[in-house]
Amino acid sequence: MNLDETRERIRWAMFAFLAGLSLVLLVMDNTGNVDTLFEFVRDPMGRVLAVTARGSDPLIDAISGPRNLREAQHEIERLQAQVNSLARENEELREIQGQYQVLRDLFQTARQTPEYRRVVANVTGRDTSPARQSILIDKGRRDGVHVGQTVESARGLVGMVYRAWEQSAQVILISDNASEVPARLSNSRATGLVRGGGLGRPMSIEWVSLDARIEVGEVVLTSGIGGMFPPNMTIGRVIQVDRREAELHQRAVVQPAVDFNALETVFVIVNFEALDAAIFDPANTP
Amino acid sequence: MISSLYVAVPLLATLALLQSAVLSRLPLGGLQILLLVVIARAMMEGMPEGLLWAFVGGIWLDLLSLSPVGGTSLAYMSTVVAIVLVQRNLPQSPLVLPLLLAPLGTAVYFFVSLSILSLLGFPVNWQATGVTPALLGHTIAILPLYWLMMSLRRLWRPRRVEI
Repeated sequence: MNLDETRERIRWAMFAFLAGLSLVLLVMDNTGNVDTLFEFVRDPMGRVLAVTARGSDPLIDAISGPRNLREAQHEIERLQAQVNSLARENEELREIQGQYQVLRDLFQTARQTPEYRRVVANVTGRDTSPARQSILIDKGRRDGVHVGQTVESARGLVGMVYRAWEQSAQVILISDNASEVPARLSNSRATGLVRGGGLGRPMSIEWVSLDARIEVGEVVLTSGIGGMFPPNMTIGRVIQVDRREAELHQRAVVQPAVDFNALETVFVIVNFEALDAAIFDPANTP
Repeated sequence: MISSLYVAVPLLATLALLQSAVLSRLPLGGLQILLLVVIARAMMEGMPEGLLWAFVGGIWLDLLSLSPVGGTSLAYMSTVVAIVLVQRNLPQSPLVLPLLLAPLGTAVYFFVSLSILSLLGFPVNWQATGVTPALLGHTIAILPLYWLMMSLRRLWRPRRVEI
C-alpha cells in the first residue's frame, strides 16, 4: 500500500468519523436530547449576538439607508411608527365592521380587545438556513419569556417562542414552512389554517369551507382555536383566492401584516396561557 | 491540522455571529460568509482541513438556527468532498478555480441541507430557497475572499526558500 492510498484512506476515514458525529448530533438534537447541553453555548451566544447587533446598527443604517441625516432617520422612525399604528387601527376597524355585520348583538363584547402584558424585545439575529424562518431576541426566561408564548409586532402576529434561554430566545416566524396558525377571516367569519410559505413564498389560509365567500382585501385574524394563540390578532390580508368547485375546501394567499425582514422590535405576550395539548394525549386520560 | 482547530473554532464562531447578526440584515442576497470560508479553505488546504472547518462552522451556525445541530455540518462536509473531488480534475488557476467551485459548492450545500431537513420531516419548499441570488453572490464574493485567505496564509506560513 503506497503513501497516496494511505492518505486517501485517512481522508475518507475522517469524513466518515465527522459525518457520523454530525448524524449523532442531528438525531439527538432532533429528538430534544441535547437541549440542556447546547443551552450553555446558545445563551452566551445570544448575548454576544445582541451586542453585535447593537454595535452594527450604525453600519447597517449606513449601508441600507441614506447616509448620515440623523434627523431624517428619527423622522422616518416616527412616521413609520405612526403608519404602523394607523394600519393596525385600520385593521381593527375592519375587524369591528365584520363583527358588526355578522354578530350585531355581540358587537359591544367583541369591541373589547383583551389586554395582554407584553415584554418588549429587540431582534438580535436571523436564521440563515435556506429553509427555516426564525429570529433571535434579547429577552429570555429572566424576563418571563417561555416556550410557546406569542410574539407580535406593532402590525400583527410575528410567531411563537420556540426556544427560551436565560437572557435570549428563539422565535419561529409564522412565515416558516412548519408554522400553522388557526385563523379566521374578518368579514366572512370562515375559519382555516394559515400556513407559512417559507423563504420568498407567500403564506396561505387553507381548509376554508367552500360555502365561505372570501374577498380579496379581507383581513385574516387568529381564531384562538386550539388555544395556542390569543384570538383576534392580525395575521395579514387576503390578496388572492383559489377556489375550485371540484375540491372540498378553498384556499387563499395571505400577505402578512408584518414585514419580517424589517423587524427590529417585537412584543412577547407573557400572560397568555397557551393550552396544554398534553391533556388530549390518550396516555394522560384516566 | 489540530493546531488550525485553535484558529477555526473562534474564527468560525465570530463569522457565524457576523452572518446571523449583521450580514442577514444587509441586502446581500443571502450571502453566506461561513460557507465561502469553508469552500476557500478546502480549495487551499484539501479535504481533511476542509472537513474540520466544515464540521466546526456548521455546528456554530446550527446553534443560532432552528435547524437541528449537525445538519449544516453534514451539508458543509458534503460541499467540501464535492469541491475536492472536482478540483483534482480542473486547471489549478487561482482565478478560474474559485469561480467554478464556489457555485458548485453553493449548489451542493443547498441540495444537501434541504434534503436533510426534508428527511427529518421539516416541510421544505424547493422552489423558494434563495439559491439563485446565493449562487450569484457567492460567485462574486469568492474571489476577494479566496485571495485574502491566500495572502493571510502566505503571511502565516511563508514559503521556505533555500539559498
